[in-house]
Amino acid sequence: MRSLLYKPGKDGQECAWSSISSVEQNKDNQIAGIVCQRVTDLGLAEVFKAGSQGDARLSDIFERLILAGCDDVETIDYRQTIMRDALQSPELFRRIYSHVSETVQTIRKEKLSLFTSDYGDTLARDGRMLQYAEEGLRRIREDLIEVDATTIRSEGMSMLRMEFLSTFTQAYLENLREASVSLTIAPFRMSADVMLDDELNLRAYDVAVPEKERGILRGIFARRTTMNYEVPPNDISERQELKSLQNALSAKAAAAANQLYSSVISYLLRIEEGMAFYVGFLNLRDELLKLGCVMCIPVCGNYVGWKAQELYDPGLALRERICPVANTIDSLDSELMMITGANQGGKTTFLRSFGSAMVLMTCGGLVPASALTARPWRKVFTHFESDEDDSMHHGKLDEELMHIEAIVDCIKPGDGLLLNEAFSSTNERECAQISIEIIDALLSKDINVCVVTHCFELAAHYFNTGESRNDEFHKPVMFLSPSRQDDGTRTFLLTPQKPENRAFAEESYNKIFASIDC
Amino acid sequence: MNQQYQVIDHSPSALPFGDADSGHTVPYQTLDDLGILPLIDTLCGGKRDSDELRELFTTPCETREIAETRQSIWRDYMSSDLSGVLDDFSMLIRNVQMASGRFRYSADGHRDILEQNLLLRTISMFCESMNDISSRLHAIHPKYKAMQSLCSTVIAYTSSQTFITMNQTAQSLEKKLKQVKFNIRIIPGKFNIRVDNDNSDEQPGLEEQLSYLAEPFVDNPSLARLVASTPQSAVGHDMDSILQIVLKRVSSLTPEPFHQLDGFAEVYQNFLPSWMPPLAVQIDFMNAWKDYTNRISEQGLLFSLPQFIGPYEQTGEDDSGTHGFVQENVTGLFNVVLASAGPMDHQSIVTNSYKICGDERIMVVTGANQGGKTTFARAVGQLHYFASLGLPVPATYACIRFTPLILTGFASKENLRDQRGKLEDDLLTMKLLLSQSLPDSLLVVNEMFASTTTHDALFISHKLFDIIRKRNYLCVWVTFLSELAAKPNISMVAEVRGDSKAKRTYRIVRKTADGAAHALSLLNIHHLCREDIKKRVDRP
Repeated sequence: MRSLLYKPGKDGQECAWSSISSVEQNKDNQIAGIVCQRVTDLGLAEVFKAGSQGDARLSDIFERLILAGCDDVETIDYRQTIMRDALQSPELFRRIYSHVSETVQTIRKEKLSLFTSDYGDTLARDGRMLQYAEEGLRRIREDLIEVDATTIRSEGMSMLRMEFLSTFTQAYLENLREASVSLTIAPFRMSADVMLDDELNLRAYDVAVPEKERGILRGIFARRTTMNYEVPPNDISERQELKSLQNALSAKAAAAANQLYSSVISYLLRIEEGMAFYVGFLNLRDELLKLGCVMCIPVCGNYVGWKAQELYDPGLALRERICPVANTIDSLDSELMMITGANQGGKTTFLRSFGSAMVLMTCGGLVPASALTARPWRKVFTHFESDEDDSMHHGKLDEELMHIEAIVDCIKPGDGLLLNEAFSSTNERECAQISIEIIDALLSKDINVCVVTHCFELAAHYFNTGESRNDEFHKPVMFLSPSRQDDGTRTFLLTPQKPENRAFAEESYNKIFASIDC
Repeated sequence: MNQQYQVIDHSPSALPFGDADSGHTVPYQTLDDLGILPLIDTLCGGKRDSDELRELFTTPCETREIAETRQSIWRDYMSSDLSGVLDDFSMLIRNVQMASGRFRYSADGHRDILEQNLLLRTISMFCESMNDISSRLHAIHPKYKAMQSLCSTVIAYTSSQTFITMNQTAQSLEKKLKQVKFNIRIIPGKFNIRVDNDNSDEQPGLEEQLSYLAEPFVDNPSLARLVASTPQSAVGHDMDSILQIVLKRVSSLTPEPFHQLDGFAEVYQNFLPSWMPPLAVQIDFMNAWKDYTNRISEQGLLFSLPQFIGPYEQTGEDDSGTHGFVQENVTGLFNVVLASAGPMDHQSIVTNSYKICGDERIMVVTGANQGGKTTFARAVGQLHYFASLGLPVPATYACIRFTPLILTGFASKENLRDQRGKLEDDLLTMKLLLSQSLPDSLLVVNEMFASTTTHDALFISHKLFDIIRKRNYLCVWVTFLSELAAKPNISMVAEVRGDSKAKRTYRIVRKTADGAAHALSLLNIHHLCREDIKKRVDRP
């Protein structure tokens, strides 16, 4: 069984079946908290919304896969080749997705329609669900057979097609249909060979669905060795118990049916999951194109840092329905990026655009830029200044440090961290000392860091030690600041600049308080 | 008790801890303040959630002598293989009682086949286990008298003729029932049973057909994992009456074994000697504490049996000089609640020591926020509490007063009330505590009068100190007012490590209170220093 998300032999940490349970349910609460934080910090909710186009299941899967990321470059590459197929034949992907998701929905509805563990109802239900599954498989098979094989270039899609040509053949589907029909009959006609266990329960060692009800009649002619029993017509509870008994006797057959059902449904879920990923990106790309924003498949490489052309914040674009200012930056040799400068100059927006691009890149998707080359981060962590401190027990600084602690406990070499105005509640000296300690430690562990800060002392530290840092252990630091035109107008573009010991708060103040007569 | 059994006389010494209903149960609030309510829930819930067991855990011994008797029993229990055997015994009794719960109530006349069989199975399991327990007890020679008599009581029971006959009958009957085989064919509302071996209309099994279809999925590891977790539909108890009907049909087609079962159940319906259940509860009590202490000991935190001393009693310890008699001396003390939660942040739980001598009565604990002050105060309370139950206590060495009464005053947590309201609440709490007078009491007070002005708090505290000293109570008093730690009180301080980057150690040491605030070196506290981070990132 192939996956459209993981290369054969690389089983994803998230399997298809986990999508049955709610997102991140199995994960540590702490990690879940950090993931939520990342979505808020980067404004990814808009991205998920645009990708899912109101399809709740698609949204669920799309969001989960984007946030889960990939563990390695091969997986990213694997997904990127399939993504190229998707860009080539979007209709095929959309069609398969709609077939598989319809099937899954129908089966789910059937499953939810039955709450009792009553009788062979479960057996019959499994039979019905297998019938729906068979129809779904049949339709996907048709989609894949009809398509022009030369338009499929990726390994993942070719494998999927092969699977339907060789494994889920007409004959297999026929057998599946037959078995599912006989499951629906079993509750009405069943024979079991039985012995007594320790508790005098009946243990069936063989169960079958006889073609006719012969046994009951034959019993009349062989009184010595057989006995019949008929439940009194009005005895509902006894009738019910007989059903329960039958249910118990067919338990093993029911388990086999359930096992088959589980296998088939989880196969369907896996296809659904894969298709949802690519269809989600197709949707997102369409939505952004409407605003005049392009997306591209990024280039992964073994660089220290990254470079991008026309990198923009997709969340901002989708939220404001505009094509936002896009930055072109080359920071291919820097492991640390420091963004300083004027308020409202586009620093945080830039950090978001970069963060979003890295999140989308690490899951193997399209990125909000016309070109992006980077070392993909394994996971993206964010620490953005929170507006409110609603806790009575700890100071704000304490809260922030606890959040950093939570990150440190999850982060690993190859990951990246975005810091936005961290530790700004304390004085500049302390902020710088704390930040340097943390940043240096992370850099030494091969974790890239991207910092937006007001703290001049922090920026100055890295600027002044810049020369001595550029050795085999340390890579140069990239310093960016919002550029402005000669008249002081903001452009919201960032340019490489030496950090300046002046924020523009005075300016903001003057602007806001201009109308007030002092 | 069933008359057909040889009633084995049991002296009260067969119950090692005597009757549970002497002594006073500790109030809920005290256990809550000491933080041990969840622990007691765990201790009671793990085995059997019985009122008897809970009562043992919440009722301190009335006198020091009773506590010391329990201690000696505990020594016997721990120093031989006895505990393993006794634990098995109590588990057996628990299982038998659970099974009996089902057939006991329908004892009036009619018994159906299923109930009869349940009894048969229970007895058969009981006999097998009792034989095993008895043979293991043979090999053990306890030092303590009560234990000796307990062992011989059990051994005598299993060698009685009644027991042997019961065992043999049960075994042969079980064998016969297992040989019954038949075919059943069901359509809604009807069934047919056949005991011949006619397989003429054999069909391909349904299971076989289905597993063939599942084959393409088997090679997939993640699917296999799913398949393995598929729940099996259970044979419920909701069909006893149809099962009875089926069994009645089967029993009339093959009557012999079922007839014998009927007779067996008649004879052996009340087979469990009545002295066994109460004994099992007491074993559970010891076992629960043993399991718990063993688990904690794996972290290197040791329990020990305390030595009790009176206020003016000379101990073996030589502490002559200025201090006078040793009132209490404890080393390696830890808080069981922290220990239960397991090691945090890869740091082992800190243990503390203290010593109270001569006229000293009150330990005043001050120091860093979240530095372990309350934890320490609770630990002292817990120490005395478990000592009063006659159990080993969370300390490597403890020479303490026997305090059957532990009074706890913890500031109310709600912030809604105004200052005056809170102060009055706190005063009422203290008044209530001090009105429960007993000569040997321990008072644990935590952050009382924290919301009032310093002047008022000092005034009230000193007044209360006078009462405590007059009554000769021992007291642990947690506060942020370092003035209260002045002599003659003992000043215990939540230690901050002396190097440049101050660090909470959670260690409480005896030294002069300095009231030093410390907001510095947050990084150190959060383990976010350069090397800490590197280590944390490198974790497996």
